[in-house]
This record gives sequence, C-alpha cells and structure tokens, in this order.
Amino acid sequence: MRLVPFFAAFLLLAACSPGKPNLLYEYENYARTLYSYKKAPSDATREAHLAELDRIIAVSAEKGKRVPPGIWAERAYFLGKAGKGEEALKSLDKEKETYPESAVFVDNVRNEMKGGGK
Amino acid sequence: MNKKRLALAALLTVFSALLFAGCAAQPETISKGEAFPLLYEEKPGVILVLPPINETTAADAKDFYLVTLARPLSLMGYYVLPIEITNEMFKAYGVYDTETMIKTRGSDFKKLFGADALLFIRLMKWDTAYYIIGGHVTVALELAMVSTATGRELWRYQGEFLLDTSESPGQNSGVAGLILAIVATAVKTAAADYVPVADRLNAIVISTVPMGKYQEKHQQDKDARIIKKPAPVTGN
Repeated sequence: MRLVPFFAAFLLLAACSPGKPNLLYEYENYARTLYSYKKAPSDATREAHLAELDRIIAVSAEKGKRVPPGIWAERAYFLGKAGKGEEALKSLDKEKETYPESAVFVDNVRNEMKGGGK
Repeated sequence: MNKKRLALAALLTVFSALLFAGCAAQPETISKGEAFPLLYEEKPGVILVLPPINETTAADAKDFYLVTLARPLSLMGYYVLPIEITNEMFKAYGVYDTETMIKTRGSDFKKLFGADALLFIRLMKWDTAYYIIGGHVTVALELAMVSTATGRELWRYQGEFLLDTSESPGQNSGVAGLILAIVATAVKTAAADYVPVADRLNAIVISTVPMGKYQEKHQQDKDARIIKKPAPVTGN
C-alpha cells in the first residue's frame, strides 16, 4: 500500500525514460517548447511550440489516445497569435468535441476571439 | 541445545530491534480517503489554475512554474483548463494577483469557466545556490484545490525538492581536477533550468491527489497511502 504513491510518482517521472509505462496522455516535449517561448517570446519560439502541439496531436492519434486536456485550445490560442483566425476557431471546436465539459469556457473564448480578433 | 537456543534468541532480538528501528524511521502515512474526504465527496472534474502566489525571490518563477503543471494534473485524470489562455484572461481582466481573486466568489468562476475547483499555488522557494565547490537548485511549493460550488478546501499538499548540481573531482586528481570540478559545478548550476526540478516536485506532490474521472482508479483509490508530512527530497 505504501508503494502506491511511489508508483504514481514513478509513473509521472518515468515518461522521460526509455521503456516507459503506458500513460494516459502523450505530452512529448510540451514543457520544453513552452518554456522556450515564455523565456524568449518570438515568432520562431512560437512556431516551435505550435509544431510541438501538432506533434502531440499526431502522436496521440497514432497511439489511439485522447489529445491531452487543453492542447487543442492552446493550439487555437497560438494560431490566433499567428493571425490564423479560421484555423484557430476550428481548433477550439476540437477542444469542445474532445472534452464536452470545456463548453462554457470554449464558448466564452470563441466569442472573445470573434469579437476582438485575437 | 541451550547454546543454540540462546544464539537464536539473540539473533531474533537483534533482528527485531533492527526491524523496529527501521519501522520507527518510516514517515507517518495516511490514506487518501482519510486525508481528503471532501474531494471524494465532491468529485471535481474541471480544474481552473489560478496564477501562483509568489513568495520567492525569483520574479519569473510564476510563469515558468505554470508550464509544468498541466501534465501531472491531467495525468491524474482531471480536465485542466488551458493554463496559457486562462492566465492571459486573468491578466487582461487586471487580476494577475490571486490574492485579489480570492475575494471573487467561486460561483463566478463556475459561471465564466465551468470550473468545479480552483487550484491555488504558493511558490515558496525557487532558488539557485552556488558555493564554488557545490551548488543546488531548490523548488518548494504548496498546492490546494478549492471547490467553486461549496468553497471548501478539497485537497492540499506541499513539497520541496533540492537538485544537487555539484560536480566532484572524480577521477581527476590534484588541482587540475578540482578546477575542472569547480567549473563544471558553475556551469551545471547556472544552466540548471527549473523545468526538470519542478517536474520532480510535481510528481511527488500531485501523486497525492485522488484520481480524477479520466483515470481507472477514480473513486477507487481511497486506500492509497501518502506521506503525512513530507520532508524535503534531494536528488541529482
């Protein structure tokens, strides 16, 4: 029983090591590219993070896993920053489709994006 | 016969003394069900992460810590509202300080975000220490989950992780070896970024959260045991 918290911690840690257990989601290098963007915001670092989000989506599909919570929406956010409004809205809809509980939030963001041209 | 028995008795005494000493050294544990009954009762699904309360000397600790949080909390089975977006929204509304937001009623967060619970973050330590022959990076924080429906605290835990960035002379002998070690430590400490350290601390702290609805063990991990008062963890 005492092993459970260690096992759970191991599960979370093990994602970075070879021969990893089967986790609920695939995050790839998410924190790394987001960290780089926040440290030095630029078109380049933003594109790198967007590419990483696309990779997470692709790998999740390959492995038959759901895209992690918020990834579709975050992709929409960065697409919006890149001036790709149409694609951004589609990505927002994918978030709502994957996680219906995000409906209230997604609808609010949608309205803001349509109105303010984020 | 007697001698053998005596020897066996002595051995058993020593063995049980060792065992007892080992047990006494074990940290006190508590089951998740006992520690967080309200969370099992309310079963929050949608989590809204609030901007961290920063008690550290690093002004950018807030932004950098947030990049590490979504993954462990989502892996525990919760729907975490996208932190980059919600953080921007808070900034836009001029409420970047959680201290200010505490006054807002939970029902507002439920209405605007569909959030079942708020995640409070208190960053306590986020620093680098470099002392020539050694170095370390330390992160310490406290997390808490509060219900938007009832305002009750559902879960709270804290932890501290120290990453040792010291480099020993190892194989290299003499002054040259020591200089190499000093330089290596400096490089290691300066280059140490907080993401892996925060990841390891999150793994410790967030593994104490009862599993959320996307995990198989949702509502079935009440017997899982966690350490009651976690001591700082060191690693390298």
